[in-house]
Amino acid sequence: MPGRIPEIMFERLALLIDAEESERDDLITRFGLSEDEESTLRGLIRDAAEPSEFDLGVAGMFPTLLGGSEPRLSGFTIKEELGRGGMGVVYLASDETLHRDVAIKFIRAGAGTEAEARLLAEARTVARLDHPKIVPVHQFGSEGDRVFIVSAYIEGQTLRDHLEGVRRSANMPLDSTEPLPANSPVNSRIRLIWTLKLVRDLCDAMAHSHRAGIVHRDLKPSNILLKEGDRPYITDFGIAVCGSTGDPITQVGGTPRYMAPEQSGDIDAPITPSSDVFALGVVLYELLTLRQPPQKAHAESRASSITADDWADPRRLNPAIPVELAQLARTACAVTPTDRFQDAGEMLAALDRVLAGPLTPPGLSLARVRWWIGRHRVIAAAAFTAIAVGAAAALVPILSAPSSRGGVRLTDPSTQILTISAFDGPARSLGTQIPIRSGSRRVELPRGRYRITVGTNAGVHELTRQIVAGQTVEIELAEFFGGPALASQPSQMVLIPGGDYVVGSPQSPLDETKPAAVTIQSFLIDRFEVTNAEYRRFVRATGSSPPVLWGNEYDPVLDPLPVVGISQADARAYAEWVGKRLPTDAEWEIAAGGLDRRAYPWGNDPEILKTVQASSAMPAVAIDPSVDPDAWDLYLAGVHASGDLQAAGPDCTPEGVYDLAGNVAEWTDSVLAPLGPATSGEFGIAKGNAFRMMASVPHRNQLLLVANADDRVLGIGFRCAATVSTQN
Amino acid sequence: MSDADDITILLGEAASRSPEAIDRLLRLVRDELRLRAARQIDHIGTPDSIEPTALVHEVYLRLFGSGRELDWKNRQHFFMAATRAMHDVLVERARAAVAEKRGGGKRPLSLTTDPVTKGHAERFLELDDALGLLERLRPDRAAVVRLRFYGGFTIQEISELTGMSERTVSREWTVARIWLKTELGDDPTQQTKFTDF
Repeated sequence: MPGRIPEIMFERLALLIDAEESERDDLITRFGLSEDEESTLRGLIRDAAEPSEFDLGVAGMFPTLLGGSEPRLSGFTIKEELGRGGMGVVYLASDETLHRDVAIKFIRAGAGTEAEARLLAEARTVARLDHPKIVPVHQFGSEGDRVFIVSAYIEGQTLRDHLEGVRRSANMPLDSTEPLPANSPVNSRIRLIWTLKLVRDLCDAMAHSHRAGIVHRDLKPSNILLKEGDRPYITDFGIAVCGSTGDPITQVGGTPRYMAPEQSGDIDAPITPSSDVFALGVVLYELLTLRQPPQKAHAESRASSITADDWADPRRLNPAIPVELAQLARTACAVTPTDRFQDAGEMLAALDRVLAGPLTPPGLSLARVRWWIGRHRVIAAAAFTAIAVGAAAALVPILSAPSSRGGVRLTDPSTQILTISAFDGPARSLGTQIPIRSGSRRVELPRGRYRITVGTNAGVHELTRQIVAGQTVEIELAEFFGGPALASQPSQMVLIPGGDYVVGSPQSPLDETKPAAVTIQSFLIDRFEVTNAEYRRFVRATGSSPPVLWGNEYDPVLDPLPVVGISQADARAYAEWVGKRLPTDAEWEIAAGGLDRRAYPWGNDPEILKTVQASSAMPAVAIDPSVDPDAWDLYLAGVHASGDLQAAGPDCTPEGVYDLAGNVAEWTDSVLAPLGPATSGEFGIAKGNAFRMMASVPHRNQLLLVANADDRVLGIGFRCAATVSTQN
Repeated sequence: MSDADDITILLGEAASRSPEAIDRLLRLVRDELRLRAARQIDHIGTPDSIEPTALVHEVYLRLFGSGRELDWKNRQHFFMAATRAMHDVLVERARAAVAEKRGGGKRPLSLTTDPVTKGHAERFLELDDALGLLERLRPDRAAVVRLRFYGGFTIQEISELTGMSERTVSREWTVARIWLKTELGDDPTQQTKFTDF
């Protein structure tokens, strides 16, 4: 965070305000300021030209303090004021009939019939639109002497507030002209994924609007709401109509930076959908660089040698951006409307082409971006919700470890290490077995991930452990179930014979999930997903934290349903507690494909499960269940009891493993390499389908979701596996 | 403004505690304050207009309550005092609202029954702290803010009241506005949202 602005700056500002505009540059030169100081001062001058909320006076800023009452409206309870501007006030209200929160925008009493007509026009405009990323209008009405719009209430912050936060944590003020360092958290792949998903959503929503013949004309970060910091919603349609009539108060707090040159009057051209494309381009530019393109540069560019689209090259402020994305922003921000994408649909198509092709520099592989956005549209939401926090954390340098080796040590004297297999990096199955001395209780290992098999008097335990350089992992078996758990419920597991298999998808853009030959040992896999009741026994016995969905008071109705909202680490801990382990990515896939290598558990026809599930009316949009407030309802409506053979329907392999394609998604024991500096640790792989998460049925070799191993993702549960022991 | 001129004359008489002068002064001040509050409210145009009677009454009590010295030297002095009284009442209300929210203190006697929106109260107090600092750094600048922000006076009126040129008042107001914004950290999450529509 930049330090306090010295008082002298405000005195300089006072001098500049007094000076003629033409003398200001000269005056600034005479102050003899450093580059930073000058930029601060210029920022203050810019602010001085903007209207300020202080102009409203104490009554305007703090109406309730003066004894002002909130408006009353029959059928609604006004809860609090969300914002205000020249035209009116927006309140958060509760709909007393439907019991939901809504946003109500009033226009000020006596604002005139013209203002009322505009509000009505806005309501009618939005009513013509039906898109999940556009805030819908519920109602238009009038009561007493005022008119109002009731629309959906989106809880969250605006993109403008979000960007402010990121700028602060990245220590990159809006008026800085410094390029972003390549290792800035903004350049992490995870952040890039977030950005591209966001921009893609915005283009998609605006493409819908343009198809309906509607130009927003006032698209900007403060008109984009981020629900739970992730899902964007476009709002304030039709406002720009007010702006174009020349009513000065509609400009209060606004910024012309997102305005296309034909809107600001810099060029003489009609306002078309490409004017919105310009705004989308500026938003993309700002997301990529944290700054805005130089103000009025389009006007200056005509007078100077800077070519028309050069000024809008985000690589000037962030050289690490792939060339193709920079080009996309430049095209969108072209000065001449005909040089831009003609509407948001065209921009969307261009963005998708970028995502499908190779990127420069090639080192920054966007394979995962393409995979997630292009194919699945399901993003590991949990990884993004705290992006600012993650960004800040990533600034802490990673200290080099004192030793590149660590190890495992057993604490229970009756235990011995039987085998250790490397299970490192982007592992979908076990790697080479590491030779160990018989009866070992302590083994030193290079850093990495391992499957460690230990033997006790009671049986064999398989454990997956991450060895960090310089650390020794101690294994205490006392916390485990201890008994030969496999024998206790043999009918609940299915034997999958070992052998040579090919796993992976030729369509996969991820090297890690391209087809590969694997050799696996025979293993057992649970017929059904682990239930809440089973998981609850584990929580009670070990004191592990319960899944979020359970809430404060556990509802027994959850008992037979599959547990969700647990992290990969949680799932692993449970599996070890019952004496099992999680299946690897390869094992899961082999189980789901059946021994005859079918595409889906029931065969090769993707339509079969759809016909069975048609009644559940899955929406064809991806949702992020980890952040959806309706998650509980979605969960109850979307899952069936683990072990309910009828509900599972055809979702059953010939070997008798149920719900691999449907019900909830499932953690595997496998991980991908870290995606970028903004993420700590590795990414766990989940497979299968979560309730209502994807419209299409996943092919057995499709990867559903990749999330931080510690993230508790609401759509993901798990089932256990176990290697068939050769020791007995 | 003949009423205002009257106020100046009456102030002189009130200082000598002439009963008629005090009575007329009270009525005039009351009207003046109400007018001032109404003007601010009209400026923002909330859907339900603010009923300033309660506030005006509180300010009035503070100005003329028992034990107060009626020793304003002139009109300017009086308006400064009225503005200060307005400010003090609001600070009291805001503190009470914050204290009430924290479950602590009792709400002092107040003629208003509408709850004070919580964010308003806290942000108001932050603003007030900032203004206190400005007062120490640049008392003239702070005076302009007080008259403009709490008193609702126009640039022209402030110029008349303070003797500064309009240009100076306008400049001081602009600089003070930015100073306050910076001082308050301009944290969008803390701020009363001021959306642009």
